[in-house]
Amino acid sequence: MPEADIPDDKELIRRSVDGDKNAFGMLVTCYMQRAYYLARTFTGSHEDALDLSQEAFVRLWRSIKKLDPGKDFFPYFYTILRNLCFNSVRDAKKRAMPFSFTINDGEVPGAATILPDSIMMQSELRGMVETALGNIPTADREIILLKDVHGYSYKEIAALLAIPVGTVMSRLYIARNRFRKSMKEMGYEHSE
Amino acid sequence: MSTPNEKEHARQLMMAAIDGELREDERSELANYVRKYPELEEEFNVFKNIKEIAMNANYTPPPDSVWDKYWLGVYNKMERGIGWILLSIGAVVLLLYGLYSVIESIFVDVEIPWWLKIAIFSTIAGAIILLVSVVREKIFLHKSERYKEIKR
Repeated sequence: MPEADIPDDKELIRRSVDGDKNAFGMLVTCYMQRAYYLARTFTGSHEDALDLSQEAFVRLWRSIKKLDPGKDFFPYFYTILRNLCFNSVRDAKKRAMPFSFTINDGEVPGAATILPDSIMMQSELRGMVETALGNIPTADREIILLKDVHGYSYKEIAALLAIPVGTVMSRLYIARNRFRKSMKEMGYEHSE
Repeated sequence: MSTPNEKEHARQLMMAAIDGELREDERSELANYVRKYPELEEEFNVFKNIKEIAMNANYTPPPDSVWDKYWLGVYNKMERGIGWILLSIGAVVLLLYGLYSVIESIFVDVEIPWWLKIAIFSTIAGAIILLVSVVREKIFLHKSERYKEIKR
């Protein structure tokens, strides 16, 4: 279907509430990538992110009648996805499966500020970032990646997490501080 | 003299500055804080660097075929959910009916010794108690531990 022919979210939600699976399918298609990448924020793995994001859509469909078509549905959907992911991460911890994800190849921006005596390979730094993010609490990793990887604004993050904008700023500070400490523990140093 | 609230507010503004979300009036407020607490400037540079590093934490994108089959995967899960519900209801009814028939036939049959009847009854009752206990535990855990990982 050409993009211009796709009805807006509110119309798709209204039709989905009436039981129209085709409309729900269009909604899924519009948001699948966003849901998948958000799930990867928590799980790291492709398989888990795919499974959990699809399961979140299934749960959205089951509770679709609770939705108000006049409101933005995504914060509601994100709550479902987030809870699924938190449970999955908790279960993985019980099975002692560490968080891991494959980060992009390419130059690491912060690498230029590494002290000359501790120059390391780019891949080594990428590995550090991966491990450091895996070592901090899931909620800290979530807020860092929502801002720095997914590029959401403070207002959008506040809506997704149902918290005030000021709290977003405070939580970002705390999360980044933990990330910084985690990087430092692995030997990463910042230049002045 | 610094107050915890003042420093906390300064750090909030610092995050906004790093993320490009600082309003004009907040800009001068932050500048005043930096003049008052020079250590904030150093902290600012460290956090700016941390943001740059975190921004690199992108994911390797999956193959395009994942998106082609995505909705089908969701649809199958939706359909299977209904299938599982129907199958479970049917299985529970059949199981209960089967158990009733077995128990009835065993207790009516005079050729089966009384001790064997008690053993069979004990096995069935034990299995039911264990099943109910496990199901109840699962439901309780699901309800009580749902948000355990969320730290605010």
